[in-house]
Amino acid sequence: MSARKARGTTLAGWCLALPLIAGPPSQGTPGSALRDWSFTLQKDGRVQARFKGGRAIPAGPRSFDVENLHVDTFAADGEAQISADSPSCRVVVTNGAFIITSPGPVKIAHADGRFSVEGVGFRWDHGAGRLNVSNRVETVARVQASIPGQKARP
Amino acid sequence: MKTPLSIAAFLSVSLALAEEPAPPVRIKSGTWEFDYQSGTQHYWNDVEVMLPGLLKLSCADLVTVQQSSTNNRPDALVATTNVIIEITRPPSKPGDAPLVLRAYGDRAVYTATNELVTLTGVDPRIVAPQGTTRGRVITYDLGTGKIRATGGHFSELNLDVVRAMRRTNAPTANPSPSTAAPTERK
Repeated sequence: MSARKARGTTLAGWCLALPLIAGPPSQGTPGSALRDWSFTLQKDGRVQARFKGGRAIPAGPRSFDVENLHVDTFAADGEAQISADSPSCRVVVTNGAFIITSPGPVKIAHADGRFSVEGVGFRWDHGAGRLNVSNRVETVARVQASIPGQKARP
Repeated sequence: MKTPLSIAAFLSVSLALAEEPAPPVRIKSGTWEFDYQSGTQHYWNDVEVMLPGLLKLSCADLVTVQQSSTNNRPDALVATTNVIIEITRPPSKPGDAPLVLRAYGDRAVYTATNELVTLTGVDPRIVAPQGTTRGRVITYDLGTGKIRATGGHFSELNLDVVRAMRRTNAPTANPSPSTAAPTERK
């Protein structure tokens, strides 16, 4: 299998280039995989997310089965927002957004450090702004906790 | 024996805690969902919250809301269904056992603006070594440690513990303000 790269392309470029580089997305033939790719998802000129991963196999229109995915998302003000790592998942790119699903493990962290989450099975609908982990969830929250009997520290 | 329990009995322990960085809060749950537009995190299915040595909370459903990222502090928490909160306070004297309070209720609501935890539902109560306080609504002030029960309030006092505390708290050359506070009886 050839190791092809599509680094630094935009979503539009990736979606357009992928069928050309890798053949029709719906076929998912052995030769259709991308390796060590990355792309930036933009909407209205604003970066929504940056993706990178190991192998990506087209699974349908705008749909890819991805290994070793890493995603960083960005808020409207450009601040880093949420990052996630999944060893195996499906990414469906929609209009300026994405949906990622997987029955497997996932690690998620909020950029401001408020929490990190590990669990098994997840669905991330970036268009709806919702992230769900459905099994065996362990969260570590870095909260400024109120300790009973002690006024909260500023 | 049932005796009215003064709230002061709950408070006659040292509230001083060392200033140190807050430990991370660990939360286990069957399912978790984050709505990052509203800043709402929703945990459900056997939720356990742990601040080692300080607090444990278990419930079926927990919602936290945190809209600002400037300080990692939730604006509100709502725990529902079979809520049990276990709060551990350090002993008033070295060598003594830590004081453990347990709060029970169907619903516990924390609001950051006033630092209050409000327990409601079927038979909300707070159980401490000194006794048990019940009421239709029990409010626990996290800032001051004060407990207020309203609506059908009654308290059950563990006299043995109170007597022991009084013996322990007998005037000394340099009593601490918290342990020297008199236990009020109604």
